[in-house]
Amino acid sequence: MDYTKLSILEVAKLLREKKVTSEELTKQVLENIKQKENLHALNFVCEEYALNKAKEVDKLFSENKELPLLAGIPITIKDNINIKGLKTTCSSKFLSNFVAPYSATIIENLEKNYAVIVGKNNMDEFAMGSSTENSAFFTTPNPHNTEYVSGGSSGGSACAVAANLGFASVGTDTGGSVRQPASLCGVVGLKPTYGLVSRYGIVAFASSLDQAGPLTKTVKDSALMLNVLSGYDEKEETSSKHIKEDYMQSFKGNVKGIKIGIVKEFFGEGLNEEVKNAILKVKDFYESKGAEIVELSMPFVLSALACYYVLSSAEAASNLSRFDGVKYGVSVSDAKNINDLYLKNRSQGFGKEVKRRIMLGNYVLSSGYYDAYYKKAKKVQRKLVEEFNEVFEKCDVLLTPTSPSTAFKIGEKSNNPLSMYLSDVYTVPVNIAELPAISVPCGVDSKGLPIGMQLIGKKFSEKTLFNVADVYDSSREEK
Amino acid sequence: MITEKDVRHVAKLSKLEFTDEEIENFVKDMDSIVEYVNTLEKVDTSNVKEDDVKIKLSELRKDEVKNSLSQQDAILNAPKKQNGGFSVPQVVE
Repeated sequence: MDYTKLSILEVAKLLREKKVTSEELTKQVLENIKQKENLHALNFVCEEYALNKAKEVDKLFSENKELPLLAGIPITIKDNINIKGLKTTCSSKFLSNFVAPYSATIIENLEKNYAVIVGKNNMDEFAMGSSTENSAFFTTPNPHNTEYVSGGSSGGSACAVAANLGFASVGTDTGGSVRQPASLCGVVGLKPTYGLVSRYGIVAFASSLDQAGPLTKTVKDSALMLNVLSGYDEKEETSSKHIKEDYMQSFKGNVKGIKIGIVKEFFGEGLNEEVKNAILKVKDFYESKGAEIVELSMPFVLSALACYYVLSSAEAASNLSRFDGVKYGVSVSDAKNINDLYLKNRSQGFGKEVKRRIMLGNYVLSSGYYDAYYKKAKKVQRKLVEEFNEVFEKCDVLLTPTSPSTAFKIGEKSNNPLSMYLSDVYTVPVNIAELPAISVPCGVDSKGLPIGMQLIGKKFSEKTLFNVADVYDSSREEK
Repeated sequence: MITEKDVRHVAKLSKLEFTDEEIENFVKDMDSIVEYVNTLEKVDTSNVKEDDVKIKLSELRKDEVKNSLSQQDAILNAPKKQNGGFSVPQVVE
């Protein structure tokens, strides 16, 4: 039997009933990875590491130890998250030989829960992009049609989950990098509230916006993963002391009394008709299940994208200034002096999009432009937070499309950075306002490519999000 | 309008070097991005106070000595190392 198509909760049950072992699951996943090498969902596979872990867990199961739900489950990890002793490349030439000297806090959490990590996922270089075409190694195509992109920047993660190369993945989301690829590949992607999941040991892109989150097959699996990933970490200044919640207790099985906001700006110009109709169908579904639909407007919400490109590029330029090729990374051997060394290492190590963001970031931060761009963007951010606060007085969650279109063709947007940026127009406002949001598959378009809906909640309202998302997701599974 | 001079100046600040062709492309790319970013002007932010946009640090942890990376691990990935340290071209004449 092929177990790899099941959800985490389903195989966790089979593991406990001793109908399957972790080693069998891991071998099946490793076999799938070999069969689907053309998807380039992984930068590398750690077969020995995974099989040893699986055997260790099987031994514990055979001793009838009570283990966490994630025990023995093979998963993959985006390649910007440190696992001690393994490479962290960020899909960049610069870090192609970097071996992590320590593990991220979330990796320690996963290991404490006996998860079996089988490999690291391809991504856009340094998480900058929406299609994985910016990876220095290869593009991860869409598993539903390989002429199309998988989305990004966590494209390898989304593709891996959709193609059964692991039961879940952990990605990072700075402006939509978990949700947009999840939407394009037809899986569930969660961006938790800023501060809920520790970023210690994750390579920083834009520190005021970055947040790690799971990609899974179902909403319930997403809650299970968040239980493992979330929690205060003293190693991280922005880590939230929010009380540790049990997200598996989110599910009420109904949406009675829930107010779902429909913000008209998310349904305007630029939105593909098929995507729009799919989301409106979900709205009708919720209404039929007893939710109250509230029509709302947020006049400035889509300004978040311009705001995002100022703030994220400024922070990226600053974060990436530490990449000099002295402490780690690739280095040239013919530098004339220290400045020449920096210039050569950075120019040869970074790819085109990363350079573009560094340039844009240093431009908006440079003398004479700082007030007009950076400070203005911080003020607009404040206005957007106020707009969200106002709408959340009238509703519990917002229902929007995750991305304005389904997957686009490989190469279609690679020469037009602005059109690429626009594929994040509905996800970016969430990061700007530090909110949680989840993308859930809600059908396919006429080409057979997945459509995703996004539910946005108030800060730390993950339980509400999971409940509302699950009511739809469970009905979808029954079909 | 972004000019070639702007791009060359920012490249210098960014410690990046480009061919003339790349510079030309950057002028075009950055010009379209900055033009888009300029739409922020349409948002009235006159009621936002300067204090509202300052970065606020939450509680700082205590400054205590704890275990950290060993020297060996810290230089593990250095392309050039010497006597347990990072090696760079001569900086002081």
